[in-house]
Amino acid sequence: METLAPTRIIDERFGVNTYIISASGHAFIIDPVLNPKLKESIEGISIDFSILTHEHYDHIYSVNELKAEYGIPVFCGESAKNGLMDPAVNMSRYVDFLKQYIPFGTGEVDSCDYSCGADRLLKNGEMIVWQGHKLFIKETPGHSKGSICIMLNDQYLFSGDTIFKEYPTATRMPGGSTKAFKNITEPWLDSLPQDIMVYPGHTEPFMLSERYNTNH
Amino acid sequence: MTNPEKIALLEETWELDEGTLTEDTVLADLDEFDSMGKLSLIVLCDDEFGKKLTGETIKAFQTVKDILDFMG
Repeated sequence: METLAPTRIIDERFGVNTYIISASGHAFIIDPVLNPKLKESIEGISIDFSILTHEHYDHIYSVNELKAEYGIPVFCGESAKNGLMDPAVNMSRYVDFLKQYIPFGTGEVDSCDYSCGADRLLKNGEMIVWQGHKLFIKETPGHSKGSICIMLNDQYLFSGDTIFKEYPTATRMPGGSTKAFKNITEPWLDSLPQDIMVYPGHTEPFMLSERYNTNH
Repeated sequence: MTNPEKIALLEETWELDEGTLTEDTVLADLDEFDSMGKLSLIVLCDDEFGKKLTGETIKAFQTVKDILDFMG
């Protein structure tokens, strides 16, 4: 099986990481935030779909543009569906308040009432086979109700805002749940091989064993 | 909505055990009334009560009862 190397593109406004995973002339995108760098990177590539790791505005604010300009289908976890459509849940309405406390990016985005939709809702535990590669979808509530992690070939974990190396998981935002994180997400993360690479929604990739862990 | 029901909503929003809050609870004594707690309160008031909370209004809140009165 060919080895995949995710390409990471950082959007400066919220410091969001967009990842492009390419194989055999095809690609898919995780948390697509359109900017000149991403547009350049996907030129001439057949993008099969994009996946949203969760419903928060900083990760979804290009979805409508992406669909209109490129016609790329957007997937998200089942539990993120309502948040995509609700500006109070996806936080677009509260950006001006929220950006004071986000430690990533320039914050050059203002509050608005943003909503978008997904073309396909991914089930917890669903396996997508893409170009001979396996994508395992796991609901990881805690940071938000609709958070998912995507495991590619048991090798790479795309974690959105579920875990970071240098920051604790923000579970006290609206829609977050400290209890769900401790009862569902942490045990699952603990059960994984700790030497897999994690590609988070902000900041640098790291090894799973290096994650910020309040229990340690 | 009754005040006990509103208090239960606040406890759920701030992930506090049932019975933690009373109308007289002083907000400055609550660890949960930090920036994230305030944001959750803004969303709660917007979503559940259709009330827009401003930073100035939040600053003026002293006790849980002040929040309950704002909720209406």
